[in-house]
Amino acid sequence: MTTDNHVDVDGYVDGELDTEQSREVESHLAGCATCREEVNSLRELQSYLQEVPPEALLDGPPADADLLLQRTLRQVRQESARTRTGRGAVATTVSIAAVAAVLAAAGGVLIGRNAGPDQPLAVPEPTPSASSSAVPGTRFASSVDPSTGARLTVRVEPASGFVRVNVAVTGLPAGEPCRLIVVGKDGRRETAGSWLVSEKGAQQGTTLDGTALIDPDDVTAVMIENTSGQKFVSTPV
Amino acid sequence: MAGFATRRRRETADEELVRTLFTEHGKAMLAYATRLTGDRAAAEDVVQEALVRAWRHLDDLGNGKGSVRGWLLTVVRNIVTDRVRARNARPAEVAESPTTVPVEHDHADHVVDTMVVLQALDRLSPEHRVVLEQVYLQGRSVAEAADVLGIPPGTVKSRSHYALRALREHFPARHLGMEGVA
Ligand SMILES: [Zn+2]
Repeated sequence: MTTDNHVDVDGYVDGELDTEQSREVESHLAGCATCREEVNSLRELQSYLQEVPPEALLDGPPADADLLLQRTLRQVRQESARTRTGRGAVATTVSIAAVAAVLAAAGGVLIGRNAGPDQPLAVPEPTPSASSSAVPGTRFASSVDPSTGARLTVRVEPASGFVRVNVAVTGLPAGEPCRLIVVGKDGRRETAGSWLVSEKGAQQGTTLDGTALIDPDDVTAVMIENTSGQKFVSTPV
Repeated sequence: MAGFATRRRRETADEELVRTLFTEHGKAMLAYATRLTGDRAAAEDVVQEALVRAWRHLDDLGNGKGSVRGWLLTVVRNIVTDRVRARNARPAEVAESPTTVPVEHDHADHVVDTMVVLQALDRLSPEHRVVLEQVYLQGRSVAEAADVLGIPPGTVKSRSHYALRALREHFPARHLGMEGVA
């Protein structure tokens, strides 16, 4: 929708026009639905933006708040111990999946990014999320590459026009810059994520979440390769 | 690594998640909570509760840094709001701690709004994103934003116009009153 030739919608929305100019715009708006919608939609966006607190721009951990972190971890530890005794292993599985999602969301896709080498995950072999609310049409697949020994287990979940993928991969060398690639039936490749294999990821495996703009019906394979194109493992789905 | 070695117990995935959230978003959460409550100790309690809630409701956090942060900040505000409400229900303590939190809004709406906005901002080019952050989130004037960003005021204006429209492209249609489009 372009309104370049009508009136100064931007100036009007920004409140930069003088009274006379504003009146001109308003009389145009009264008769032009296109510009009216444009003004409404821009104003709506502005109000959404203004509602976001400026603190949202701060990154990183707070200063002098280690006690707060410790208190919070203690509470989580206590509650998760209670949950585990109550519900068995289910809670753990769901958490792992969600942890993977959140870590992926946080930009560092590796499980174990903040833990030292002495702290393996509760689950030694990573498994893709056993989502509690599986989307219809979700597919699972798993393969081991005979030459590299890498194992890839994937879950491909259809979304509207794209797919969400969750993978668990073991047997990748530490320090390797890797890509998670989704392959379409026409051979099209979409990168669904990239990361650097950590020591821990090499030892215990890595769980990743990603998305790829390929129609769910067209996805034929998911693969892991390094940034120079060397394939580690691929699985048809 | 010595620090890790001396920590006796294993860190579970749950704890690691919370630690990650704290490391990525703790500063934003605590600063926001401190502004809303005007009290650092109260703010810390709010952040602790928000992180625990995040861990309990992992499926609601969404994907992407912006969405996670939006969720966390909204929960921070909701907790503060609920505490203010609870305190207002007890007349003796009303005057104790003034607060700037608007209490009239509905929780659920805000969760979605802040998440959606931050997520959409994440998808913009850096040039577009910083202009919107300066002008709308920081509330700076065009002249101030121009100064901070080191670009001419006219560029701030034109970029913010383009950026606002680019942002709209990344907004789910249902959030702009256009049901049925998506
Ligand atoms: Zn018009």
